[in-house]
Amino acid sequence: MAIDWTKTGNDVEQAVKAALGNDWNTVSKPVSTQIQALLAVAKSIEDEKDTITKVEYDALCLSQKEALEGVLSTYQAISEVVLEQAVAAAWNVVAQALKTAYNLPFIP
Amino acid sequence: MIIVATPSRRSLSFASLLAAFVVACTPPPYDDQTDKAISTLQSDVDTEIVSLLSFAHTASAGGSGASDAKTKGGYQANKTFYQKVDVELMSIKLRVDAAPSVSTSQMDKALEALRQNILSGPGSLQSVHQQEDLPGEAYFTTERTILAQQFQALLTYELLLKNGSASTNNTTTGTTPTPASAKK
Repeated sequence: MAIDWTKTGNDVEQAVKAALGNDWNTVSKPVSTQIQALLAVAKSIEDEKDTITKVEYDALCLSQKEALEGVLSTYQAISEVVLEQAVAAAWNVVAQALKTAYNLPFIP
Repeated sequence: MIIVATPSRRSLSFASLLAAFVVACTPPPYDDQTDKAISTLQSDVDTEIVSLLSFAHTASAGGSGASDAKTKGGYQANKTFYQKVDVELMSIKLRVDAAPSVSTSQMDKALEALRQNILSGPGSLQSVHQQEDLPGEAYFTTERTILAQQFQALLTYELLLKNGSASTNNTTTGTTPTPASAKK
């Protein structure tokens, strides 16, 4: 079953909105852009699911989270703790979508 | 410099994000050495990843060149790349910290995130390279995309500063971009 990336994108946005609370209104544009970047990485993992290893998946997962935090940390409106929660919530939605669709053994 | 294709909307949003940041704070002076150093680092990292991609492709294809590609693309053969990146990242951080401003801590965080993703984090390029010796093409392609996001943010920020201080290129004293010009 292929992943519905439009729905997943909406789910990610809702999860991030919930984590950011009122901060969402301030940073919705840049965060939405970063969500698209995160989805692009998740799609490439989907495309390469048969060749990618657990080490590579785990690394890409951490790397994408780090990148998201690094880019958005330049925006002072979001505190570090809230930012980490938002990034974790975003990746959790993506990971669950990949797991549900393909039951990939390397996704916990 | 190898340019990673990105949608223009994303670029605009990065610009919006960074412009908003610059406007919200007193912007730091533009330093063309920092700008060049970030560009050099981006080029060095991208060149290395493209090279590793090529080795990974040759290795996975099998044939007579596979063994040679595994050796040339292996971690030991590329260890000096990581040492070079370590030095370049430290140089950039020192330059940023040498002229403290309200944005220094944010720049430091962005640079630290880059360091984590290339060198020192558990999910870093170096870590995966060490563990797998020659990771697959899919990994390199995706990691390249992720690192491009980070470099794009840093370079866009430098571009905003540069545009804001276009009337002078004094890198010693620097010139603070005005909010209006930095918004460009």
